[in-house]
Amino acid sequence: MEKQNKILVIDDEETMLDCCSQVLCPLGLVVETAKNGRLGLDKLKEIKPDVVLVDLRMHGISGMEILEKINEIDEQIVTIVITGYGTLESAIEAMKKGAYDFITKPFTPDVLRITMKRALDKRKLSLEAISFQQEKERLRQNFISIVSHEIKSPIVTVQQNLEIILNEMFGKITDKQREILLRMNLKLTELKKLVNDWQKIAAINSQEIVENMEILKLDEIIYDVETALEEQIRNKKIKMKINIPDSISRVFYGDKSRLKEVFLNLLDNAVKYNHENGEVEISARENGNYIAISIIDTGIGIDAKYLPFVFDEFFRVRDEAKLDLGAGLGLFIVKKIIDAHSGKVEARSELGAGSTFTVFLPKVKNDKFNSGRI
Amino acid sequence: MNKRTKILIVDDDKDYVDAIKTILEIKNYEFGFACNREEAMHEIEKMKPDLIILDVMMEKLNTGFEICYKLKHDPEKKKIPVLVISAITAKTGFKFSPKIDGEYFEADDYVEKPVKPDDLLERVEKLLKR
Repeated sequence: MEKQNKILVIDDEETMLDCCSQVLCPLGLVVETAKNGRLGLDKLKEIKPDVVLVDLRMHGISGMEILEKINEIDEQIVTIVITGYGTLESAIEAMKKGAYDFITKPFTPDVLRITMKRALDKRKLSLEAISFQQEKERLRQNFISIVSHEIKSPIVTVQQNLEIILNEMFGKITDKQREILLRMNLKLTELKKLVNDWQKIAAINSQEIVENMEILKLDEIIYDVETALEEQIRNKKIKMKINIPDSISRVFYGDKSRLKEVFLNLLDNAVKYNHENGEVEISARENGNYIAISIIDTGIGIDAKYLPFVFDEFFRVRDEAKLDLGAGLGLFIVKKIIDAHSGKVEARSELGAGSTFTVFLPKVKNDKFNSGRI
Repeated sequence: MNKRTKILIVDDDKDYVDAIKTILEIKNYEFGFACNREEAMHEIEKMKPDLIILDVMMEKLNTGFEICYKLKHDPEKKKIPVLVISAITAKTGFKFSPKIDGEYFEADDYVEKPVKPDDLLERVEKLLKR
């Protein structure tokens, strides 16, 4: 059996409450009433109604205030406002504040029935939409976690066994055998990275990023990223130049782990596509309402015809097939994370001379900073 | 010392456990296994290992974190060294190690899967010496 819908009527005219109950109860609805705004709010929290009918003009807490409170309690509650004759303007204002519909006093039982039916349909649809959305998200997240775990586990186990053979724990292997085993290992590493990247993309959730935002020290993030790539930087004899003014630290904010991911990807590219003894410069500056952080390399550069596509999913420059390029998800991840921060990312490049990737992140506003929380 | 050193390997991939065991077998260790949280806690009580090798993702994505937290907040068991071997990098959204993201994990050492055999042997020895 379908659960009975609950209606709350808030009006300071006793007769109005009675009339509404008389019309609505025969429709199989549970009708609760409150004879002023304060009692209305208490009932609202207590019974969690599907639809609220509220008179705009009441003594004490007004209908307009109740409307605002309803949105705070549960945005999905559908509200119908009752207005006096000739007060269309206040009805419109109420609609702007989120009321679903209005009825004007005096109204016939039929008007109330029809309006109520529409409001209940709206309530049903929005609840369904939410539950579908949640179900979809849950399935998606579960699917990705399970699939990536199930794919990664065997890859890693195969690699672990390759390591044992490569380590010659159980007998010598020839150089040729070693070469073949290393080739196998490399392919598995690429496959694993693809699964990891895919998992990361699925996990980027704007809502979560906004919740995780905090004031950050850019120089610390860059230091961590540089440390993580220490080996690659040393092997290629890359000269690092870092130029981050202290003032940036006071206005720089975001989701720490995600931004590390961004700069890790960008610095990794700047090193990977660089020449030996090349240079990488990381510099930050204030740019209007943004902090602009540039990663400038002296590497092979990107042909102008490819530049507009570098942030696309699975894009990679085909001409450079001989380089180890991965699956083409790194910059896509960067863009997704920066988009979720309401920032932007930009690529400039000259073939043969190097590339500059610039991340623009909105500055933290002073009032937010002063309150200590974002 | 005449008692053999006991190592508990906690991982839900039996084949991976075998690979780790293959490496460590060249030393005269004694092994125990567990593939989920319940088994792990049971084995820890029963065999009283000298070292625990711990995976992260098992029946749940964070089983390893849970086990580690439980151990490190137990006055008795917190002395048992924990070496995490995992392919997970997603918990922090960043390649993590005690050095970089130590605040998330109280393990004594962390190494990413797959591990180089020499590296594994060395880390195990080092933790056992403490």
